Order: sequence, then structure tokens, then C-alpha cells
Amino acid sequence: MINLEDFLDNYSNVGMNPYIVLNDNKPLLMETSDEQLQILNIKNPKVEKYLKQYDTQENSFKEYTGYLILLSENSQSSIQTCFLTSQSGFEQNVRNVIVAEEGSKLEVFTGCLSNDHVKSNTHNAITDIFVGKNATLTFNMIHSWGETSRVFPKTKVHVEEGGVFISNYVVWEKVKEIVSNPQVFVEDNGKAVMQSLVYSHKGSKLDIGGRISLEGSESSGEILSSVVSEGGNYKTVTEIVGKGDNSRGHIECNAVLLEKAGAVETVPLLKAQNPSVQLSHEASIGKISKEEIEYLQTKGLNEEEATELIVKGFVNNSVKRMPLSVQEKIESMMAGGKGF
Amino acid sequence: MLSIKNLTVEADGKEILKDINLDIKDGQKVVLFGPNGSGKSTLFKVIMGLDGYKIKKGKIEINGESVKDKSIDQRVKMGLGYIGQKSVAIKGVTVENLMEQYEFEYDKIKEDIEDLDIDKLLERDINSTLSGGEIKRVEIFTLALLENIHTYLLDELDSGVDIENIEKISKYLKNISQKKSIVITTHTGAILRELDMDIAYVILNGEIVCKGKPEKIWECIRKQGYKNCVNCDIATK
Repeated sequence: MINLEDFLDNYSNVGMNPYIVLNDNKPLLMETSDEQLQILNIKNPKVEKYLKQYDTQENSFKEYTGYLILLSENSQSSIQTCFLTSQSGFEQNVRNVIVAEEGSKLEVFTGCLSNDHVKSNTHNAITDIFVGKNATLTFNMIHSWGETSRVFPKTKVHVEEGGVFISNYVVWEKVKEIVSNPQVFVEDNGKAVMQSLVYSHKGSKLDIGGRISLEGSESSGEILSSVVSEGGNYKTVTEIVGKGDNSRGHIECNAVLLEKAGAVETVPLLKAQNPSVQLSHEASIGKISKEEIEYLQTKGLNEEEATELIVKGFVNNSVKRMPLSVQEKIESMMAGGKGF
Repeated sequence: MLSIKNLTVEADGKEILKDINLDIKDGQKVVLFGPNGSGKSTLFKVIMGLDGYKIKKGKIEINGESVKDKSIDQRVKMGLGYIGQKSVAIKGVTVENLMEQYEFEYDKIKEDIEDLDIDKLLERDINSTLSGGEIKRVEIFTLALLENIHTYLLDELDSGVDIENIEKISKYLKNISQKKSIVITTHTGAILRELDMDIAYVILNGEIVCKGKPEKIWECIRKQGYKNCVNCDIATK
């Protein structure tokens, strides 16, 4: 079993407080309830009562853990959370709800981790996120599951009028399988940006996409996927549906292939259900150009060093809109550090 | 010393360099003239070992050691510094990112940064959204990061560069290259006004057809074009 204190010492390092951990299916270690920020066990009766006003996904889990993070109106906070599995073959079920009430600003930094000795674990999650009127929620997720882990999150996000939802989703280390296709609904003048950076290792099966439904007028959405493929099977089905007047959406996928093996499949779907919408997509998939490698070789770098630097550039370019804390984590992972 | 002996090169089944013989002595400053497509850039690429060329005959040696089977970066470590005519942009990689690949003391390159006026360009992506002059200044700077370079191969250094930048680059090169060899190519001749070169060669259709004093040969080319380079009376063949 992983020692929780060691874990916190090693990984609680993005400097955000409070820091909460969901370990296996055990209940949340502590609840906090200050005036602005409440973190409650999902099974706390107060949570059920509070959530009656929201349209949440059905909870199909029998055994599960989870939290409600609730930031009250016009306040600002950040929080770091972690999902942890410490037993081989374990199936963790997580039911989480995050609410940023009207005018609030919340940044969530989430990591997922299993200890090195943990094999063949599964992480299931049902997450509802509510971004209130004119609120901003930045949701940063850095995976660090083991290479035999399977991960199946189901996420639904509702962005109210003038709200902003930004998702930064990073998968850099080995994982067996991920299926993640968040559904985001955006009301009038709201905005959703979903950015992902994925390293597709040999033996991985990754289905990481998402759907943004632009419900309200002047709403906007962007889905930006960047993939470094080293032989895994990666697929991204991304969809933007323009319904509201003058809504705007853009999908972009860029993939760089390092190996002949594996596959990268990108399926962008744009649906206009209103004549005033503006939707676009662009995609590029290809190997690193010989010209770039040779150029860096003329600067004295060997082929391997040149390739590494070009990949670093691709990553830099992909994450430049992500928060500095996420960029720093990625840099540390590229340098061989542990993800979270 | 860089020595090229009886070099014949093919690309796509076509002979593009024919029996080239060229010795670049230590500290010598050499200019290669020739119209577009004559083989000047190809010669540099072949010396550096870039892909796409097949050496049919001859050899290239650096201080008596053959470069055969040496990778591009190994040739750099043998002392060749190269700047290609065409710049290659690498998105997301800044000049600083490239600098991080080398071990050097900042104080040693501080002067290079000032002389080439590239302080503001260090955070920019390599060769991306830079002007012609800025690209060449950054390229020249990257050579300062490499140790043991004794021969600079500079392809069309003055192409797409304004006079002010040519002056800046030339002044820098003069300072750093006193004991080093330089081989430049030019088809505008602009850089000759700033740099004193020892000897010029003319390449036409993949062959060296003439050699002599740079000013005289350039004057002849400027007045009469390349067609008169063969059997030109000012040349010492």
C-alpha cells in the first residue's frame, strides 16, 4: 500500500491549497466548509439537498467515493485534487460534482495516480461541472496512471450565460486505455476551450475527444488536440454543434508521429443548426521532417537530440495557452520527472 | 584544412558536381561564384553530409581525415560550421531552447549576443517570423555556440539581407574569423564590399571553371555575365 504521507510529500507540489485526495473508494479524508469554498463528501446528505437544483448525471455506481467542490458567488479560489489507487486490480468509482457559482473564479488542478506496484486497476468517474453566470472555471488534469491502468471518465459540463470553462487535459505517461469524451453545453455569451496534449505510447489505446454544444447566442467553443504518437492507438472524435445565434466554434488537431507503428485517427465533426454560426476545423498529422532534423544536426545535435528538441517545440507550441503551472509540470515530465 | 579531391556527385541520377578539386587552407577566405543552380549550395550540402546526394567519386577530408560515413553532427564536431541558404523554421523551439543544448559560460557569448544585436530575438522561435537579416544574425550566432569550428561554410549569407545587416554580420565575421577559414557563396556580391576574401572560384554547371582574385573575377562577372568565365583572361586556371 502506498503511504499517504509519502505520497503527499512527493506529489502535492503545485502549491495549491487545499489539497484533497480520493484514495481507492474510501471516503474523503476531511470536509472543509469555509464561507467561500466548501468541499464535502459526495455522500453527505447536505450534498444531495444542494444538488436538487441541478440537472446531474445518473450515478450508476454501487460502491464509490467522491466530492462536491462548491465555490460561492463572486469568490475566487484554487484547489488541488488527486485520485489515487493503491491496490492492484482495484476498480475505483468516483462521483464528483464541481460548482463555480455566479461571478466566481475557480482553478482546479487534478492528478490521477497509481503506485508503481499497482497493476491492472480501473478508474471510473462520473463528473458534473457547473459554471455559473459570468463565472470562470479552469480545470487542469494531468494523468499519471500506470501502464496497465484503464480509465473511463464521463464528464458533463454546463456553462451558464457569460461563463467560461477551460479544460487542459494532459496524458504524458504510459496508460493502457482511456476513453474520455466530455460533453459541454454553453449558454449565451459563454465560452468553452478544451485543450489536450497526449503522448500515445506503444500499447496504449486512447480515445480522447469531446463535444461542445453551443446552445446560446454569441457562445463560442474550441477543441484543440495535440498528439505525440510513439506507436499507440489514438483516436479523437471531436464535435462542435452550433445552435445559438452567431455562435462560433473551431476544432484543431495536430499530431506528430515518431514511429511507424500505431495509429492516429482524428474525426472532427461540425454541425451548424443555425445559419448565423461560424465553424471551422484544421488538422495535420505527420512525421518529423528530415529537413528539421538535419538543420539541428548542423548545429551539432545528434539525430536523437534533434528529435527530442523538435518534439519539445511541438509540445511548447501546444501548451502555450495552458496555465504556467501545467506547462511547468509538462516540462518536468519531459525531463523524466513524475507527472503529479 | 578542408580538402576536396576529384569529387563527383549525383542526385536523382543526374551528375551535379563534376570532378571538383578544392583546398581550403587554414585561415583562408574563399568565395564561390556561380549562377543559381550551378552547384555552389550543393557542394556545401555534400560537404556537410545532407541527405539526397550520392558521391560517385572522390573524397572530402578535414585535416587529413575522411568525412565518409560521418553524420552531419559528427562533421560539425570535426570543425565545420555551416549556414544554409534556406532557413528552416522550427515552431515552438526558441533560440534559448537551442542554447540550452550546449554547455557554455554565458560570459563567453555575451559579447556575441551584443555584437549581433540578437538579445531580443532569443525568446523567438528559430527562424519563424524573423526578417531575413534577423535570421542570418541568429544563424551566425548559433555558430558561436559550437566549439572547435575552424571552417565556416556560409551559403548566400547576403541573400535577402539589407545593407545594414550585411555590415553588422561582416564586422562580426571579421572579428571572429581571423584565424579561421571561411568559404562563402554569393550571387549578389554584396558581402564582398565588407569582407576581404583571398581567392575566388567560379562554378558553372557543377564544375570549377575558374579561380583568381575575387575583386577582378567579380568585376568581370558583373560586366559580362557568367558566360565569359570560361577562358576568361584574368583567371589563373
